[in-house]
Amino acid sequence: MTSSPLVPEISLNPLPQSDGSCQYTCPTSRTTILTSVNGPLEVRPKDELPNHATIEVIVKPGIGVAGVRETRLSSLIHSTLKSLILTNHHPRTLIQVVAQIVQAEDHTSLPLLLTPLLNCTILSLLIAGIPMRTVGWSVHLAVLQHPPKTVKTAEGQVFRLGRGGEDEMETEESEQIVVRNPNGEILGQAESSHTVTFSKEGEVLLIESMECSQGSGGQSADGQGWDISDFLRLAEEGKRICCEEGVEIIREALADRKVF
Amino acid sequence: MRLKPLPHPSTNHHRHHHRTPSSSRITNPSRPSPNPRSRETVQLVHYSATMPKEPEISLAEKTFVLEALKQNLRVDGRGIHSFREIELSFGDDYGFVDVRLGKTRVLARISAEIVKPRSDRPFEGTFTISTEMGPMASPSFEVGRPTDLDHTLSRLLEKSIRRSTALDLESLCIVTGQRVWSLRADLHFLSHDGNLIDTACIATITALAHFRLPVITVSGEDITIHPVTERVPVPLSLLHWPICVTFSFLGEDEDGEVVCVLDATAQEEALREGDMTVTVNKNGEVCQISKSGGVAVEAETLMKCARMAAEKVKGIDKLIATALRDDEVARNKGNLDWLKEGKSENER
Repeated sequence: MTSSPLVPEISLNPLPQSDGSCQYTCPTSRTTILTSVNGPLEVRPKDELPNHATIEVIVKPGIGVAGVRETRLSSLIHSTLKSLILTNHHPRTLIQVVAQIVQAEDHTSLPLLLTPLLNCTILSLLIAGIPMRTVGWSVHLAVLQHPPKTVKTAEGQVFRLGRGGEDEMETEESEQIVVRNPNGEILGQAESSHTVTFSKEGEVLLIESMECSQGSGGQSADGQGWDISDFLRLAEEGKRICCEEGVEIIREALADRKVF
Repeated sequence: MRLKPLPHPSTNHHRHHHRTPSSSRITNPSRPSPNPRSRETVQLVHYSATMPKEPEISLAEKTFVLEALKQNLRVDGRGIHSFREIELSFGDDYGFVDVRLGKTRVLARISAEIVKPRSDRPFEGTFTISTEMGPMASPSFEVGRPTDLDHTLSRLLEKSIRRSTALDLESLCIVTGQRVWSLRADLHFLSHDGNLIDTACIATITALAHFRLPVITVSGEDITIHPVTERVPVPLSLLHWPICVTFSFLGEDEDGEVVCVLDATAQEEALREGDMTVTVNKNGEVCQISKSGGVAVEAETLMKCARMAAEKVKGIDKLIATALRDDEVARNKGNLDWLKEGKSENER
């Protein structure tokens, strides 16, 4: 494996009892997720679909019992997986995904959890041998006004996104600072947070954006919004990360397993 | 519109037993039925509404395991009374432990928050243990539908740890009647290969011993919680470490006596005819014994088991203490760096 500071720690099949499992640790936010996939299984009659497999996603929180946040996370993962898994290959069955939040800096922050959850789920689906149309990868991008203060960042984690600049030379201030997979502290200084998920072919699978007011740790918005052309540039960069680096990470992780 | 299948002429005579699924589902499968064949039908309908069962042990497998036990041998090569190797690893933050016993794996995490105490116990903090099993441990566990094992486990942990007053709840009091610490242990069952009870107990005790409460200062009405970076957090006041040891009774030895096996695997658990859990601390004090039904065991065997449990617990206690000390040393090594970066030196 490449030893880049941005490559996650991945351990494949840590759980011998499930069909496929994966443990994923985000190198920068230190969020650790463990997912297991079982399937195709027998489906409960009320969930049975006549010509598709039913996908069930269960997100289990690290602290406490599952609530609204976990339901939201699982519905986001579910809708992403629905466009990846070839459900018509196993009609009238159940593909069950269980994601356990093992360790997180902030167990209550949805954007910090979503990217590791998605990436880990996709890896464990591959291990479990569930037929998929393509693979996807997710990256969490935080947009800041200034370079992150008092937080050490990994090499290559921070980059600048120039604004237009075709008609006139822009000053440095008009640039946006983007941090890849930020931790809670950086997210607290961010203006907005965007989780983008792309397939290998560059199709958009999921975009989950939210606005943060500075210093709230991603908990509230201050009504500033963001510029759509800035966002498109950001998404373009996210697409590059997912399609090039993400797919490379998947390929390397699975290199010595005959899955691909 | 669904067509109702015509009853097969041969099944006609016991049609009333399984005609409508709703009526058969509420039928208790253990209820004696006049016709053995119809009872089987009812059971099938009953199970199709739940999640997949554990694969059943084949007759050949069963005979093999039991015959081997007769010669004091176990399938995985262990001795009859030996545990699998207990592996403990700690996470980045306090109160998080990952326990592995062979293929069985349980995570425990302790968390604390400040709440108002119960009005009838104004001097005491609260401590809850949450044991929810999901399909991650085994596909036969379903979310929101606790199995018998679920109930047994939470009951046993409750008796072993909470009722044996392992944790001094009065030490969790901040302001009498106003503010107390509320501790919570979340157990996550990742992989089930037998002996979840002992593993869960070891995980809870280790996590409690590993946990540190942040220091607080009270001035009048205000309570200040000092972050870890400011003041060194304090360990909980654990009075003793109760540890569960589960004996599984299965098969017979050469003299025709029931064999009791320690730390059973899932395979052995599926074959066992009875089990008993003894909770002891390192001083050899029995906190709890539970033997709920199953095969009848001689009183003398029970005494032997209790004595053996006390012996085993001494070893486990030592192992936990060593692991905790090693982790403490590793944490203190790069103390300041660790605090700055928010990550520990010890890698799993």
